Order: sequence, then structure tokens, then C-alpha cells
Amino acid sequence: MSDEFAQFQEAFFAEAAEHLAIIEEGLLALEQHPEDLELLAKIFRSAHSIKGASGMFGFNAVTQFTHKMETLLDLLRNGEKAVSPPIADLLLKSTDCLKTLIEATKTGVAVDEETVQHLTAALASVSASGAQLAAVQQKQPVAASRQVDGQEHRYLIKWTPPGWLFQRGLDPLQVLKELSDLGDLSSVKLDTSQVPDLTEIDPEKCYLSWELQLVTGKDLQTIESAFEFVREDSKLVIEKHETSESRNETRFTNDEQETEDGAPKPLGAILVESGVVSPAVLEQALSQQKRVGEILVEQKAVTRHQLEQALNTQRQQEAAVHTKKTDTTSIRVDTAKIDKLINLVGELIITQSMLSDLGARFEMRRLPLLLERVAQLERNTREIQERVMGIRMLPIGTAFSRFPRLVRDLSSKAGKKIQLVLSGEETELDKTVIESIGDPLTHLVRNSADHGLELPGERLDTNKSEVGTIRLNAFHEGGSICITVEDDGRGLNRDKIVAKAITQGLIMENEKLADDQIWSLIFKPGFSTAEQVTDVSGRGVGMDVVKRNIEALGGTVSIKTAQGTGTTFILKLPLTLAIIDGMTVRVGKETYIVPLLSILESTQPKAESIKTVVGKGELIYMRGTYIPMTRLYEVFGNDPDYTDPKQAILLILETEGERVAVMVDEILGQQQVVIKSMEQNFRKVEGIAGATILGDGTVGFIVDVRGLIEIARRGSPVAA
Amino acid sequence: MSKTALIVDDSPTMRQMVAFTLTNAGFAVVEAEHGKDAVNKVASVGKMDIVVTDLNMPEMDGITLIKELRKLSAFKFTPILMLTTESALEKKQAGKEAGATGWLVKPFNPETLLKTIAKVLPA
Repeated sequence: MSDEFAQFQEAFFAEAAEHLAIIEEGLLALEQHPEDLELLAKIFRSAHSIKGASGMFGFNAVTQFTHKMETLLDLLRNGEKAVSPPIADLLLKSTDCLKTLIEATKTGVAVDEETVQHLTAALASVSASGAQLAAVQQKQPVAASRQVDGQEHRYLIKWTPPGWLFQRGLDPLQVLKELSDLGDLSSVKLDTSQVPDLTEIDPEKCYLSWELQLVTGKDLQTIESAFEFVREDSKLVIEKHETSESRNETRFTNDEQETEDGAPKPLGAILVESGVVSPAVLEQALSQQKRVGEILVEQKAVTRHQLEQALNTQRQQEAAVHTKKTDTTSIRVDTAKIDKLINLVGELIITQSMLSDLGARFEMRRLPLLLERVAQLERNTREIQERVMGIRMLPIGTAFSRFPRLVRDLSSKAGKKIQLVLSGEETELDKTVIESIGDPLTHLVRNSADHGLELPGERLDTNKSEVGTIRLNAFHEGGSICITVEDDGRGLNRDKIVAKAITQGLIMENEKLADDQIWSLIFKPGFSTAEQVTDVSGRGVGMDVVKRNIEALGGTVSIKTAQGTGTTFILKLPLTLAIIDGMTVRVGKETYIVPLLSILESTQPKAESIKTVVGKGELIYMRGTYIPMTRLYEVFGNDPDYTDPKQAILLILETEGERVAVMVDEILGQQQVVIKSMEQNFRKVEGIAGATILGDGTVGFIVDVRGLIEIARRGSPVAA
Repeated sequence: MSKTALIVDDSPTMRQMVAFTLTNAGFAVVEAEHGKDAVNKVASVGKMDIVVTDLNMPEMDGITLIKELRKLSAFKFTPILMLTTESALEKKQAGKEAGATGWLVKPFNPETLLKTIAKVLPA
């Protein structure tokens, strides 16, 4: 609506997302407690807020659609309509639609008009009261000054304000002042005849009336607008005395009003108001409006094939725009967090000034003081680091909030009874992690609902409660976050997985595998044991993507399962992506950092366990399997202390289920490091994930485990 | 002395936009999230020159807030504007009966907001 407000759009989208979550959550809860008026009021308020704010930005599609929802919600809230499953369903669908509408205003992607029209019609027909329609059309703002014909007219105004004028904080002088701004207030006559005796006077009441003459070029409506807040309760007569023509126009403002601002109404609204058509008929007619593509096809201007192609191009462009736009995001931070941070910066400045003071007049005997100050500086820095990290931290509840709805839909689709139990929603983790964790979690929940949980009959047969449970839990563990997805279903079937893996050629028929290794087979691309591919899952895509996504975040996935009692997926994620726990290792004079999460063990191999295979390089025989070995000094071209693996140290690293043994000179220790991007500061180097500044000020490289595995597989070092 | 304005709205976006406009127009702005918050804040700041309040809010709605404010001697004659999307008469009527000075129909632009304030606030 106004450019000045454009800067608040980002805030609007964040807020709208919160409101949408409240609406959805509320609607779901409403299904259990249809009588809960509190809840309805809350849902209504959220819809109302979206409507109000979207209007401010001129997002008319959003405003109008929300208005429809709000109308229905209002009826429910006032008890004029009861919440029934079809109504709840309609509102949920509308919430989805609203979501896409809001998304569309953000990204500029076109929305599916048909769905919008369909839902709008449905909402209107459920609300089914004709009077609502006129209000749908957003009022145009009153034009500031509407010149009629540029001619000046003389108006006679008789005004008796209501007695309680002052009690509403209204000041008659303000009205007179506004009138005088409109033109020449040539005569002001104050009528005090109604003022009672002093003894009877109520000082808070207004007993006055006025007779005014105003000469102005402005029209009647503009004059009336000066009385906007009082005219319905005032006795007000405005007469126009034509100077050139003899036509007198009198206006009694207490009369029934037409459109408040004189803006022409849409044809449909007029027809409905005059009773020619019913709102439902109008809605239906509107919904039949064709899209331009279809009209062109009908007129044979384009062929259907050409149209399809054009639509495809459009979709691609939309998708491109979409991905581009979602990259820039903002974050809402609790002001208390920022205040705390400002305090800490204050402390840091104090420490700094104490240090520079000390440095200016330093003597050796003041060394203990210096050490104390430095320790203080360290404390300050550490605390600021933690707090700044905290700014990026959001409760994981935002990622969980989509699941009640998902589970509800899944349970009705699969014909199962499922209850979802959420816990640990307040656990905080990095915003980026939260955003990326949504899809993997959705896959896991779908999987649990579809494969994990049994049908009610089957559950009863095995002495379980008819209702299956899926638990989502999040908690801190050490320096990382654990998220578990747990179901009390049938558990993973070892024999089935093994059989499937053999037919898919993933394992050998006579291979002996530990349970853990078998469970991890389900993360292989294309693997699915579901006998029937359902609408929901079982197409064999998903689990490998889950694993890949989690590992891309520097996390791990593991499985706990017991036949007949259920399956638990455990996701372990780092608190943040900017800092990792690393093991510092030394090769020659260089220091490298290995991500702690990827280290399985370290060892000094015996001579007999080292094998060389032609075309495959060196292998290490460990715990029954061969692991490819890479000499780090060969990869990066260092001058090492040891070239003999028996004297050096081997780190066994794992990522995405693949292992590699990396040879280094020495393990230095464990420390947290801040990741600096190589691509941004230099260029991509194979085998290096990033760099960091070490304690002594030198640069250390963080090794990329995935890259090292690739290098080991090729068996030849890269020129670095 | 700059004039003071109290803005009451549960939507942070709306609140920020109104606050932004008024701050630019030279007001000293106090923000409140809902009626209760406003009543508490008013207790500590005392008088305000104008109040702009939303109607639909959690904890305490706008109508109740207006009634509460009118009970205080410091707010007896203070201009109070209500923000409303409902062009529905009952809301406006209820607001007027509670003592609202005027109203502003959302959506509005900064200009309309300032104009409406000028209408009720003596210079």
C-alpha cells in the first residue's frame, strides 16, 4: 500500500507464519474440543491479524481470502454455527491455501486460482449469509480532497453535538479547526441557549450548538468528513446555497448512508445487494471465469501443446524465482537477548580499556594483574560468543509444529489410528539446522506412520492398543542435539531387509552382518521393503535422502529397533553449523582439523594388517573388513615425520556409511573451531572442507572426510 | 516537548508500522502488546497525549481497554483511536460507547493515520 511500510514486509511474513501455525494448531485442537470458545477466539484473532496486516501492504488476495475465513470463524466464535468435521476440514484446507497465497506474495509465484476460487466459494456458502458479501470488497481510502467543479459554494451548517462529546475525548474546536482548513469559515454562531443554570451544570457534558457558514470549493463529503467521528450521534444539517444556480442541496447526515466513500461498488456486489442474484450464484459465476490460456485455446489462437509448453516455462521460472528468494531470510530475536548482548559488549569495552591502561604503563611486577585482566577478557569473549550463537538459536517447536497436521492426514489416509506425542519443543538449535531438518523429519514421521505402525486390527491381534503412537522428542546431549522419532509399531524385520538387500545386490547371500549394519541398509538409495507402494511412502526414495541431508548438516542417523515393539530413529545434530568440534592433528609442520563426529577410532597398525592391492592402493585390515588408507602427506604434499604407517597414527573416519583410514603424524588434541569458507576466501580445494584460525594465529585446514574417501577410492593423490 | 502516543496492538508488524509513522512525525511512542500490557504501562508512564489501539487482542481487548482508560482521570479526555477492520457497525458502536474518540479502518496508509490523529489531537 505504501512504500514507507515496505520495509516491514519481512516482519509481516514472519508474523504471518506464526499466525498460520497458531491457526493450524488451533484447528487441530478444535477437532478434539469443538466447544472450546477460547480456542476459537485465538484462531479468530490470528486470522484477523493476518487480514489486518496484509491489507496494510496491499496484499489484496490474502486480505480477501482471510476475510472469508474470518467471517466463518466469527460465526463459529459467536456460536451461530457449530464446529463440525466438514467445517474444520474446510478451514484446514483454507489455511493451506492461505499459506500458499502468502507464500505467493512473498515469492511472486502464481497461485492455483482454481483452488482459491473453490475454497472462497465453499467458505462463502458455509457462512451463507448474504449481508457478508458487501463487506468483502475492501474500501478505497477516502480521497483527500475531492474537487467537484472547482467552484466555491456557500454551505450553511447547523451542528448540535451529542452531550457526551467530551467523555469520548472529542473536542468541538478540533472540528471547527478542520472546517476552517477546508475554506473560509465566514461566520460562526455559538448557541448557548441549552446551557442550564450553574447549579445544574455537568461540567463533563456539552450543551452547545453551532451555526456556521463555510465558503469552500470542496464537496459535501469532504465537509462531512470533518464530522466523521461525531456525525452519527450529532444533529447535523449541511445546506448548500448555490451562488450561481438556484438549486438547493440539503444533506441530513443521520440518513442511511450509501457507500461510505462514494467509490463505485463492483457490479456483483450491487446485484447482490439489490437482490437480483444471491451471493452463492455470484460466487459460482465468478468461479467460472476462465483463465487466459483456456480462452486462447478455445479461440484456436494457440494449440494445447503450445500452451502446455508455455505453462511449463512459467513453472520453471517460478521455481527459479522461488529458490532465489528463499535464500534471504531474516530472524526474529527476543529483545532480552539483544539487551544482554549489549551489556556484555559494555563489559568487554571496560576490560579493553583496563588492558590498554595497563599496557601504557606496564612494569614487570604488574604481570599478575595483566594475567587476571586477560582471563577476564577470555571470560567476556566466551560469553559473547555463546550469546551471539544464542541469537541464531530457535526452539525446535517451529519444526515440530507441522507434524500434528501431517499425522492427522496420514492416519486418515492409511486407515490407522495414530497419536502423536511431542516433547522437548523448547530445545533450541541453530535456525539453519531447524530449517533443514524439516524435510528429513517429515520423511521419518511418514515412514513411521506408513511402515512402522500396524493397522488397528493387526495391533489388537498382537495385544497392543489400537492406537499407535509416534513420539517426537528433542533434547541436548553433550555438545549436540538429539532428535528421536519413535514408533511403537512392528519394528524392522531383519529377514525381510536381508532378503531385499540380496535381491538388490547390496549384499552377498552368505554375508554375515551385524544388526546395526543391516539396519543401515535401509538408508541405501532405492531401498524399500514395503510390499505395497502407497501414496505416502514405500517408493524407496526418502531414507537415503534423510541420511544425506542429516550428514550434510554434520549430523548422524542411527536406528534402534526391536521386532514387534517399535523403531526409534535417532538424529544427532551439531548445535550450530558455524562451529564444529574438531580433533587437531599434525602432519609435518601443518595442523589439520578432523571433524570429531566422523572419527571412529585411532590406531597404530601392525605390519600384517597393511595390504597393497593393485589398482586400489593401500588397505588396512581391521575388525574383519578392509578399509582404504590415505596418507595425508601425499594428499596435501607435506613433508611428514613418518612415512611408515607402523610408526604413524591412523584415524578411522566414517561418513555416509563409508570408511577411510587417514595417516597422520600426531594427534594434538580436541578443540572447537570456527569454520571459514574456502570458496569465499580462496577457492575450493579437494579434501578440504574449510579453514580456521588456530590458537597461535596460524591457519589450520579442516579436512573433508567425504573428499578424502573419494581420493582414497581413486588411489592417486591430487596435486595440492 | 514532543507529544506522547501509546500504541496497543498484538500484531508486532502493525505496532511497528504505526510506531514508525508516529516516531517520524515527532511523537514519543510507547508500545503495548495488548490491553493488559497497556494498562500496566500506563500505570508507570502516567499521561499520554493520544492512544491508538487495536480491538481484537488477547488478554484484554481494545473495548475493555478503552473503558479501563476512561476510568483513569489522566485519560478521561485523552483522544483514543481504535484500529478496526470491521466496518461492521456494532464494533464501532461498542467502541464509541466505551469512549473511543475515533476510528481508523485498516488498511490505512501513514498519511491517513497522521490525518486522523490531527483530527482529534489539539495541536
